[in-house]
Amino acid sequence: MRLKRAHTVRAAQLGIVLTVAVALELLVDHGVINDLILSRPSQMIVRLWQDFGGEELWVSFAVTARDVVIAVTLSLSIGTAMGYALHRFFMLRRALEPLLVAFYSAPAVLLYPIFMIFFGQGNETVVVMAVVLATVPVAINVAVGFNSIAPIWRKVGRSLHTTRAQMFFSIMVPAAMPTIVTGFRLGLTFALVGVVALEFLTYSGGLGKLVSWRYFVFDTDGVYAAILLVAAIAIVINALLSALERRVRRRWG
Amino acid sequence: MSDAIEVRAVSKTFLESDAAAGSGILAIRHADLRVGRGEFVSLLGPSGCGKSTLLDIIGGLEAPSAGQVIVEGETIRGPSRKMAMVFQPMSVFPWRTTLENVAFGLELRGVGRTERERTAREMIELVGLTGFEQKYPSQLSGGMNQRVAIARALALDPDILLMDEPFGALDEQTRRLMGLELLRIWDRARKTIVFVTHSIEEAIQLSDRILLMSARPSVIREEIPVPLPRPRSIESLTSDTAKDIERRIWRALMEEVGGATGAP
Repeated sequence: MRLKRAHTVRAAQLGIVLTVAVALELLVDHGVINDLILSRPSQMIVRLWQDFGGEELWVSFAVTARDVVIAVTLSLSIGTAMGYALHRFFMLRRALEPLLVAFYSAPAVLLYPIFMIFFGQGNETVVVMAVVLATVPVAINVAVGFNSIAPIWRKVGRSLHTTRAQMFFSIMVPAAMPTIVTGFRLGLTFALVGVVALEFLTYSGGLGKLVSWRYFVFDTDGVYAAILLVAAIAIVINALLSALERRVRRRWG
Repeated sequence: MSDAIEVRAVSKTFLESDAAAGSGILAIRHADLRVGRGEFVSLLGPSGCGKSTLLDIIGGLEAPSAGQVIVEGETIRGPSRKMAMVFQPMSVFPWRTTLENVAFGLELRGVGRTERERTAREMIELVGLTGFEQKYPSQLSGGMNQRVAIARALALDPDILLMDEPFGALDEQTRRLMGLELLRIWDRARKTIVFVTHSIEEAIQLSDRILLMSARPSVIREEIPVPLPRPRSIESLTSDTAKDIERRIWRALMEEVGGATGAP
């Protein structure tokens, strides 16, 4: 029954995507939308397929992948440490949490010129900015995760004589795991979006720069092919981590 | 019978965070009690009467503001290996299987995997959960999870079990059945048990002695022996003796409530 409903939802989603694609195809075909502004969905896929055979896309992909890996590694480590500090030091949390939440909701990406002044027009700016963007959701979720641990579990730990390290690794970390996983998923998504957006804005290499360049030379099919690839990567990463998150949450009850 | 636990003149004052320094809420006033080795004693009282606080003090989780707790001849200054605690439901870890939950305390003590799993399996058998070793708490019922919590405490082979309303969140029937289970386990494991509850029936069903606690600031108001034969049967629990005990507790509780509302 539940499986059947899940199938229906999937079918509906696919239906919506296909409908939009067909509609766009027709709109461009009939000249309602200029094909310099939007390419035909069929053309996007054909172009992406051709790009797979070439070198340009792969070179850009490698740069983006490297930057994302660096940014993710840094934001997860810094974010986890910050989140723990926020949990541990009550005054710090009182002072910083509203600011972080505000920062989280503001379009911080617009600050990129300032970062460019400090870090130059290269991948340093891209990585640093992506780290700044992605660290915040990680820190907030890690802090929330630690703060919402059922007091009874810590009491069990104390009654069993845990050392500080045992309390942390055997009780607190697993207890906070569902929320931490959510933070990590958001961190990864933010890092990917941040890297591509910054590459696009600072024109410093990677898939973002590729899109930017193709816009510049009116290579409309190429623009959408690259965007399609970025979107596909983001969707796959998100789906994998959501599946992990669901598993953890189900287990944790 | 020598004493397993001796509580001497214990008081507990909680400081009110926003009150002026020095003032506070007196939660327990001068509690004195003794529990013999192998005895099953209940602390019975209304909600919020400080019975869980007293249990935490005995268990070394809270320091008394005055007085002292002596367990097997030693003054308690923190959690002791002689005691293990069983808490209210959902104290089991949802990220661990039954086996891993039961072995948790031994794992903390650095007992090797083979040995701790052997002990854990014995305890799982003792509480009647054989076959559920690899299940997670979300796959078990509330009653089964409390068995896991009891097995987790027993795996440490303590002399004394401190139980804080362990069956409080279970439905009435499950609670009574768990009570019988606990008596069976107690009979086999031969531990001293201090059992906190707000249920009169539960206290009568299980205990050798009931210590009736008053509302805050709580004192141990009355000591009520339960001279019912063991093993406890439906007959003995519905006998006149049992009813007399229940009446006596009710009378004391009514006086307590009357006193609290200022009625004569």
